[in-house]
Amino acid sequence: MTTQNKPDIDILKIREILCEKKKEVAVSLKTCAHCALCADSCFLYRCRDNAPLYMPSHKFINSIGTLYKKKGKVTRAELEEIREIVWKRCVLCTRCYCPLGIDIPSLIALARRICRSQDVVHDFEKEKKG
Amino acid sequence: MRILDLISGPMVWFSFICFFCGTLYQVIVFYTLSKPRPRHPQERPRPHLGLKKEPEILDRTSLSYRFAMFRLTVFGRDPGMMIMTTIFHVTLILTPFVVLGHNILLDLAVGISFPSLLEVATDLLTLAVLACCLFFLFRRLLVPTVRAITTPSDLLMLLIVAAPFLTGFLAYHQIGNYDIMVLAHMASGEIMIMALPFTRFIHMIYFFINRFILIHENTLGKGGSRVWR
Amino acid sequence: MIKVKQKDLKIIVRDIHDYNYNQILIVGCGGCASVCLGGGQKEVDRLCAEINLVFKAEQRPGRATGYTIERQCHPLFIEELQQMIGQYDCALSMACGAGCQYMAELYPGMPIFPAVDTVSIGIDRDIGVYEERCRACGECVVGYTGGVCPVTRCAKGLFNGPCGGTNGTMCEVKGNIPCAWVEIYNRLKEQNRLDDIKKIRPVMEWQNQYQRTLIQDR
Repeated sequence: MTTQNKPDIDILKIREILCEKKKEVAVSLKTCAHCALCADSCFLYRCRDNAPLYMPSHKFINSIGTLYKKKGKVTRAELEEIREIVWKRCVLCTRCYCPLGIDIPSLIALARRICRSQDVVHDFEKEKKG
Repeated sequence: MRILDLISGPMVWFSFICFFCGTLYQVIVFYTLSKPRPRHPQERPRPHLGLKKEPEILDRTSLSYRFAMFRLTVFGRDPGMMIMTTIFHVTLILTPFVVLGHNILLDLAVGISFPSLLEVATDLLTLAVLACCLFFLFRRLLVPTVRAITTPSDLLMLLIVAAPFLTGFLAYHQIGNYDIMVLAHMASGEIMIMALPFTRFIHMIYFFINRFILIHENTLGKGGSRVWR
Repeated sequence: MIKVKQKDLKIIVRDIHDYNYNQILIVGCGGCASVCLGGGQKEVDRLCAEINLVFKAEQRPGRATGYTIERQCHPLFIEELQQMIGQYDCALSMACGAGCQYMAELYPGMPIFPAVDTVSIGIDRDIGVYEERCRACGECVVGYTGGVCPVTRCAKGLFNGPCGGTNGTMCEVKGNIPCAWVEIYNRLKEQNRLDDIKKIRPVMEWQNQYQRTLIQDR
């Protein structure tokens, strides 16, 4: 999985996917009051010593939120970072609780879709080695 | 004094129009971008005939059981925050309606008014809002999870909320320059009202949409009726 | 995904009582079991609270603790339990049968009890409403049945046409479920593929009667 010999990020493609759910993403990002009450509902957060990195809101703000704010203009390195968030820090168990009712799993799934469209995917082979 | 005329006159109406139109716009946008989805009829398997239902091992109606289940909700998990946030939101919305001064102005302007509380009571409500704001501020700065997602905009939002209450309190008690305080009170209040449907305060509208209308695991009420398109 | 349903609390508690286990570890699974609202962290927490209430009511010193891992069918995630599992008398698994067994295999000294029943492989019709779609027979035939599985959806698991007992469009075995073969016929007809239904299919070699191991070629 080297990043050098990969084509550039197709910003238009990312925008196209973002546009499909633009309003939903925008509303979700805006509705999030940054209250951190979702943290406790994530089992990964609790298992990983309450690390804020695993908080559902932190995950979606830093994945789909970054993509949205930059309007898709992300570098491959940033996309790799997003991949870490949406695959390694979230298993999409779809059980996060948001007091304001934001559908966080669908946002993470959208971020995964954008990553996949740019060939930035999780390597399950590597998972075995930990 | 022209700025005072502007802020105490047309700007009040403008901010209210802004608030109502913005709210309406957001609701319309939600309805155009979501679609109805009827809930799937849930056919529960009928209990086998002849088998008498044995008594449950736990009395699920007992107080201790309900309390244990309540402890698992967000109220039980983070009681401090939930109590503060409840007090905050109730007082935040209630206080402006029951302040005597507001109601007198309202009566003069349009001839209607809400019941007013004693001035001591509204004073306490205002202090409650400000105390909650302080609580949120310290929570933002000190709790690692909250700090991890805090942006300058969150602090700005907190300031926008606190400002009308603080200036109103100071103006009522004639602390500092009264004229400037009243001006700041009106201006900050108008900013807050205008910001409601367009900033992070949008959760005021979307709390109800997300929790009561959209279908998901944590929908309240009848279980929702719509999904995002 | 795999759908699981929590067992009756009485059965779970009976398992623990029989051997007087006191320190209980309830292990949730963040995979399928969590998705179907059967064995995720929320359910683990609830079961924990319930078992602790039972212990309290019986004035036993026992205590249940919950822990949810990503997937119980993968060694990487089960290893997480290594450090803590020694402190417990027994473990309750809230994963599917596979996860439960894998945990039992990796911790041979630890009594493992299932806290859920694995019900089916199904689809999410609605939140909390899941319909069975697959029985893992090992030889998928939905290609010629218009995407309707005769193993799962036909009460008799017929591979060649409906039986003689089709009750209108309903199944004769259970009145309120539609006949799978009527649906297959309608689907194929719509796609102009009725020839498929006429072909006689050989009998199914029921591979799911013995333990299978899957090796994917890469």
